[in-house]
Amino acid sequence: MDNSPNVAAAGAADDPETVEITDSGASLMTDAERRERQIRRVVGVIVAVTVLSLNFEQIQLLTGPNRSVLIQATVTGILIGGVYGLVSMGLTLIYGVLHIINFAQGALMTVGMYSAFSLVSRFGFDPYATVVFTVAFLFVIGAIVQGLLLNRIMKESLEKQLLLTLGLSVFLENVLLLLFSPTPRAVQLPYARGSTSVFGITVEWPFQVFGAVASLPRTIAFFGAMALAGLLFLLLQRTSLGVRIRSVADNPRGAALVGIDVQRTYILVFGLGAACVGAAGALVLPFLSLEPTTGESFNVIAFVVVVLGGMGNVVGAILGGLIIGLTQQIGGIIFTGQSNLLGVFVVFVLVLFLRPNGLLGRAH
Amino acid sequence: MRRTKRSTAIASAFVALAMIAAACGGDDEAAPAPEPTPAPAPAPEEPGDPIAIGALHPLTGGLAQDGIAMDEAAQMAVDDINAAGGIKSLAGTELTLISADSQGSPDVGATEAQRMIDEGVVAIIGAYQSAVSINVAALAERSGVPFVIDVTVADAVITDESRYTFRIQPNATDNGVFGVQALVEMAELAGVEISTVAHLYDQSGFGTSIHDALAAEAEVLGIEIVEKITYNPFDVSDLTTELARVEASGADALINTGYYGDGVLVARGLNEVRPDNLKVVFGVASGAFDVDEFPSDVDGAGEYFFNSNYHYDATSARVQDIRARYEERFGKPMRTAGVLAYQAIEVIAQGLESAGSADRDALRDGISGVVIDDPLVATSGPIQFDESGENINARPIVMQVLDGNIRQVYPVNFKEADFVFGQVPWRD
Repeated sequence: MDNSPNVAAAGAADDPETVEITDSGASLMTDAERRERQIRRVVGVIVAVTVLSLNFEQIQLLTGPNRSVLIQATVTGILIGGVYGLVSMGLTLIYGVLHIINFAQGALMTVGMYSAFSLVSRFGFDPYATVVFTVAFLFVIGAIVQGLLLNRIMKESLEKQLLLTLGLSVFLENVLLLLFSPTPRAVQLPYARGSTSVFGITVEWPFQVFGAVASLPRTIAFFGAMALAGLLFLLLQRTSLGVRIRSVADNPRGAALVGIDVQRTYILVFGLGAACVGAAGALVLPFLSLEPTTGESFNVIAFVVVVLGGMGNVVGAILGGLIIGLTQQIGGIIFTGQSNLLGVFVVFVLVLFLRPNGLLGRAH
Repeated sequence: MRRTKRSTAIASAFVALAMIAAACGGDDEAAPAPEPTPAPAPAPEEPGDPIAIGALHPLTGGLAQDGIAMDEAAQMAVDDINAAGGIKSLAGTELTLISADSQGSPDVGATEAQRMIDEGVVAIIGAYQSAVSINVAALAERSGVPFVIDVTVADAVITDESRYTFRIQPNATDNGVFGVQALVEMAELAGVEISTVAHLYDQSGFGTSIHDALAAEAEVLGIEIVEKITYNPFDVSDLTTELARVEASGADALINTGYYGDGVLVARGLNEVRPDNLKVVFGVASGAFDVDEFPSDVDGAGEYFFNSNYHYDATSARVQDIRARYEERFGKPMRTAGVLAYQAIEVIAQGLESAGSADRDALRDGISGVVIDDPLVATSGPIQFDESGENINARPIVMQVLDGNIRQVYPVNFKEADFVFGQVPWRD
């Protein structure tokens, strides 16, 4: 396996014809395929230009007098995109190694948020200090789910696994409803309006960038998400544990033959995937209000991000998260009067059309 | 193979369990077994079997908070009426409540309403969401079962042909029209000029129907809507960009129409963007700005926010008594949605009282003739229904966040405190 962080090469490994076809190794393409690819590109560009020109007036306004709105959309898009990336990373990791589409990812995030909320409101924790606990807690929950439930049906049909995670999400949501009632909760960040000094540079919050604002909680969430993504990347690339995970993803039978405990690796991976949303939950809590269904709204976005970035590709998830965050925000101000998901799905369809395996995905 | 079978069984059982939990989660108030409706008999001397009323609300899902509260309030109204001697014109026949969960879905709502009708309820109250109420209203008209709407603003639920559907609260048109009128009147009283408005609203039927009414009335009053921005309140996690657009529009006032979570995002976002142009933040049927937890949830970022909304009448002694007893029994404050559910049960009870019969058609006539002189919600007069079933005196009132508390401020006859106009929390 090369040094690419793609953990989803399994499946391709059984087929020596396709295993070499990565996007850089396009030399194996036939002329017909190349032609088709070019046609796709041209069509894609035409569609994109047409869609955008439909709203040319709005674009003119945004590059002219309303530039501050465009800058704000960019700042917000990047900040929220980082969080989308972190949520999606857990999902893509689970898919890449276990080939399970985890519908409970959003519900697990809500569990993370409520555990952080309980620590803040009961014991007076700082909201960000709870990250350590939510990561550990969600890791344990994820490991239990995999160990007790999913490991038993790993060889069964896809629908069974899918149904199980779907059921789990409904179950978790209702347990939270029972425990915490549907009353919306919020935590306060007392220092959100102060100033921070780093290396002699004092930053006033909310931070002003070219007329746009970046609030402290959103900035922390972004950098926190990026740091955790970096850690996960290093774990996968630079540690023996990462090698174990990647080899299980690549070829579970082969991994078992060289003495890797595949079942235990699955447990570990699901735990890690859940821990990602545990962290994300604690990071977004200071700027979102919390209800038992809050995490669900991240579910749809996370699926889009994962498919966009390439199923099973960890770096793709971060990239996809940023793209979706930006598209959502900038698309929202170009196509006014629509859901800001419209732009997201336009980009989504375009990317799938041009690169059916996602931005960083490999051909299967 | 045995292991596979066993794990399948476990997985299936787990899924089934989860589904059951989904179906009945939150519905902890078990509905009493339905009793068949007694045949209508003129002037009975003995109390008959209890008369069943159906309550259909979202008891699970994202709107469960209000749904459960409304179900509890309806149960409390039924208990209060029974404790006071039941329906007197029916020799003290008692009421009983059948609760159903719409799960927030129009399809489930219609199915559940049909089930309750089959079980013999004389009338239904509900359904909180416009899409659900539209389905239930159609069913009620077809089946000849009175449907008393406690909360639902969409105009379309009631048409000119409606005979069995009644609504206590103001509809979308009333909310939009009176909202803008109140904004203009209060600005005049305060001597602050408001000539341009930005409207930030929910993209579903709730927000758009209010926007249409509000925009039409604004034109009449000479107010220009310089920016209209929609969003999906159920998946929005950031409104900073939208608020930057509000700032760029240069509007004098921001009007917001939405639910709770997005209302919190509006307040927090405004205090980050800090638009210089805004003189006032004004909710029209906002689901956040008049909620008791709102001022503390946003940590002062919602101070001076107005909300024009249907609301319980905090100045009424009867409301104070009901809210105090509710809080004692359920351990949480009673919100407007709950008060409206209570009111809906009262409307049906009065309808039964004047009909002197539990027959659905007689009850319909009874309800269409009711006059409730001491309504629990702030209105411009007694609750009375017009031909189509709208309450002719339904009016929103204006509340304001003052010193971290929600206060009724306008019109004067509902006033708890003097309003402060032209102030925003990020410019003190």
